[in-house]
Amino acid sequence: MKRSSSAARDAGFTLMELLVALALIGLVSLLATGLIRFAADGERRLAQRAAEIGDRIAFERRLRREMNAVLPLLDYESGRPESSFAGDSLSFRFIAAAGDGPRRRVLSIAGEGAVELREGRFAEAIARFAPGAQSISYYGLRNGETEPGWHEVWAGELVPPRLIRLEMDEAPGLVVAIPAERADQ
Amino acid sequence: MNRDDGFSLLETLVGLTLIALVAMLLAETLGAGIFASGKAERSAGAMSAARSVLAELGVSRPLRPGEMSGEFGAGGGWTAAVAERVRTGLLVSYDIRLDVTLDGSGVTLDAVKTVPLGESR
Repeated sequence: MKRSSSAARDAGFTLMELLVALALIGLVSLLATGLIRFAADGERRLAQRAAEIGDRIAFERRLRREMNAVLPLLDYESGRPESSFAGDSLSFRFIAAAGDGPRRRVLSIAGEGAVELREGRFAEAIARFAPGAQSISYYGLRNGETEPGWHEVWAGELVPPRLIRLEMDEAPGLVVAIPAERADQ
Repeated sequence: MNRDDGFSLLETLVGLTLIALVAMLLAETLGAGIFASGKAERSAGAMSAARSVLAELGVSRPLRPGEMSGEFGAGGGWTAAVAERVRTGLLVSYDIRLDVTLDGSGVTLDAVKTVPLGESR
């Protein structure tokens, strides 16, 4: 901006110039802060999403490994032999082989669809994942039946089920197998 | 122009525009990251679904040579090409190529399953 005299210099901006300048600065800074906020929020969302995907993969791997190690042990607590695997639509208990010997485990659907794996019914969760689980069902041959099928309850049987299905509210159900050589023993 | 005048309007605008440009680049990069993570999420979902179908094949879904298929309630579905690989007196092994699509993401799994002969499960 060229100023011809010292009087013009002292006059500063006109009101119009000031208003235009303020409007432009306001507009550009609004754009800049908006983008910065979006970027910061995006970074947070990205980290959260990555953690969720990691959790999901880790939990599923854990679950498949545990089910693969289910032991076809019998319980005599009720006075007659029954499989140590027993469950209903919200939880099941089982005994799985671990590196240092058999371990009692409980898998249950807690509040808000989170699935938790515990050492015992009241122990701390050793693995947890929030996939939006609804219910659990069991596939296998129950005592006295000739055809295997899906059941909502598995209790008082002689063998563990062959499949376990976690019904999800959005995704297709998660199905995990228990090896036949264990279940059929 | 005197140095004491501070920034001119033009300088301020150029500065702010640069800030906006940099923020835009940052946002674009993160946008790409979010897109990629969404893709990873769908891909993990499809893989999970595929493993679930594979768990059921030969157990609750008897295996027979040929094409098998099914649908997920959540949208998407699977097809499996099943071929007999080897048969002994007691067992039969199948080669399985499983294709799963879910939420616009697809995975293919190759597997071999051995089941007791006769019951096919």
